[in-house]
Amino acid sequence: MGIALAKQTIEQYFIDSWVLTPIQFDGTEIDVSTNDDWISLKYVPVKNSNYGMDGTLRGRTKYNGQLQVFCYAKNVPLTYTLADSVLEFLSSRVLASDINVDIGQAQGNAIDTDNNFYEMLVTFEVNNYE
Amino acid sequence: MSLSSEFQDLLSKQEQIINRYVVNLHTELIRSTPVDTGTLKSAWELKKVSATHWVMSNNMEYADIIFRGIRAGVKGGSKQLPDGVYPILQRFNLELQEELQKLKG
Repeated sequence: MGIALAKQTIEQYFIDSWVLTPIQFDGTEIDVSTNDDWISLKYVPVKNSNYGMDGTLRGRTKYNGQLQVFCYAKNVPLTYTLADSVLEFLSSRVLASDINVDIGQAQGNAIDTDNNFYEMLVTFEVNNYE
Repeated sequence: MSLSSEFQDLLSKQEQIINRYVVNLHTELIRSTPVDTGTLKSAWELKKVSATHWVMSNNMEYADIIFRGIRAGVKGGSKQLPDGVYPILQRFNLELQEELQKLKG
């Protein structure tokens, strides 16, 4: 359940608490033609590893993943502001089921996507333990 | 072994580990880079600035579009690299930190 749980928990956190823009979840489609801004979520599993408090590697698994939040707005300053809001919303949070979200990183600047939006990517390292 | 030479030995081991990870990461990024004409793949550069400071870069105009991966509603991205390069960077960073942690004992 490790990687599925992390993805579900993060998406549920956004559903429950994110009010600034519409959200496009991985594998779903939304119509953004009438929106001024929106975000898109993608969770990518990165590495699973064994660990144990008793010095052995039996019994517990650490799931490491990356949440990618793509932020879209109509101009560069608004895109930066939206990315800042996402960073503030999620950085250094412990979510349900002991899903630990590290401090977020903006990856590069705002780029023109050729569909009337600018895009910034914010990534978060996510760890959970089973 | 004196404290000074022990410290030098530790620094040397640290440098060796970092060198190995940088070379492996550079290789992995080249391997993962999508190929259309091959220009993007051949644009990777690697420079050593100091013992523990390396710079890896790709200055192709559309690199940022491709390296962010495939995302909904946006043109760009490649099926050859659907999640972009950032999960690769995270994995290498994670493994490098684990390796350096072992060195500390």
